[in-house]
Amino acid sequence: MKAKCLEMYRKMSEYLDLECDQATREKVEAHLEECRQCGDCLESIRRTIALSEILPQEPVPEEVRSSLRQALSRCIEKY
Amino acid sequence: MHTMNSNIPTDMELVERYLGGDSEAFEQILKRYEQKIFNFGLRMCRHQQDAEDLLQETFLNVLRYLDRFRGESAFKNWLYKIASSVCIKKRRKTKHQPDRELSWEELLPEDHVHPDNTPQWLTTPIDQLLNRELAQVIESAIGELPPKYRIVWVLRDKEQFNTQETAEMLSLSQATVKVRLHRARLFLRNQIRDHYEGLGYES
Repeated sequence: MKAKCLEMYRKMSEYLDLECDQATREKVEAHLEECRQCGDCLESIRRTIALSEILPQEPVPEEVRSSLRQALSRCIEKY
Repeated sequence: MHTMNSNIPTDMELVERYLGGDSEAFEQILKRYEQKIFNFGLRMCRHQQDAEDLLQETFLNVLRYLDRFRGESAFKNWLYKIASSVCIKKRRKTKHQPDRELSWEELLPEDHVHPDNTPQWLTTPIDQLLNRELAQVIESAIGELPPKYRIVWVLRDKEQFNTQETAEMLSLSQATVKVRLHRARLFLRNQIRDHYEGLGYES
C-alpha cells in the first residue's frame, strides 16, 4: 500500500463523519480523484456504517417485559 | 426540548410527570426504550440472559436515581450512560479475557492488491444488500470485536450518539473514541468484504 493511501486510510472515518478540518478534507478529496482503490475503500466503510444502522432489532420477549415490570414494581414498593 | 406542535411528550416531560406522581409516564419511558436497551445488551453481552439482566439493572437504576436527573444531558444519553456502566461493571465481575487491542497492521486493507474493477458489493443498492445471511455475518463480527471497541461502535454507529456524547458516556477522550470507532468499523468492514470477496461472490 502506498504511503499516501495509508495516510488516507487512517482518516476515512473522520472524513465520513465530517470531523476533519478543511485542509484534510481537501487533501482526501484530491486523492480520491486520482485513486479509485481508495474510493472503493471509502465506499466500503460508508456501506459498513449504513448497514450497521439498518441491522434488524430483536423484539423483547413477552416474559422479559413482564419480569422487568415486576422487578420495577417491587423496587417502587420498597421506596 | 419541549415539542410545541405535537401530542407526543418529550422524554423530559415524561420524567417530570413520573416524578409528579404519574406512574403511567414511566411505562411510556419503558415502551420507548426497552427494546433499544435490550438490543444494546444483546450486542454487548452476547447472551440473552445477560441482556435481560442488563435491561433490568439499567431500569432499576433509572428508577432509583431519576429524582437526581436534572436534565443537564438528554434523558437518552443519561439512560445509555447507566446501561454502559452496568455493562462495564458486569464484565468486571465475570472472569474474562483482557480486552485485546485491534492493531493497525491487522486492519490494513488488502483492497489495494485487488483487481482493477470495483467489487460488486460496493455498487449494489444497500437495501438490496442486507439479507439474513449478511446480517448474521455482521452480528457475528460484532461479537468478535473486543468489548472496548464494541461499546464505542454500538453507541456511535448503532445508537447514533456523536463523538462528544460517546466520550462523555464512557469517560474517554474524543480522540480515543475516534480511534476505536475507526478500528471497529474497519474490522467489521473486513469481515463483510471477506464474506463477499473471499467466497467467490464477486463473479
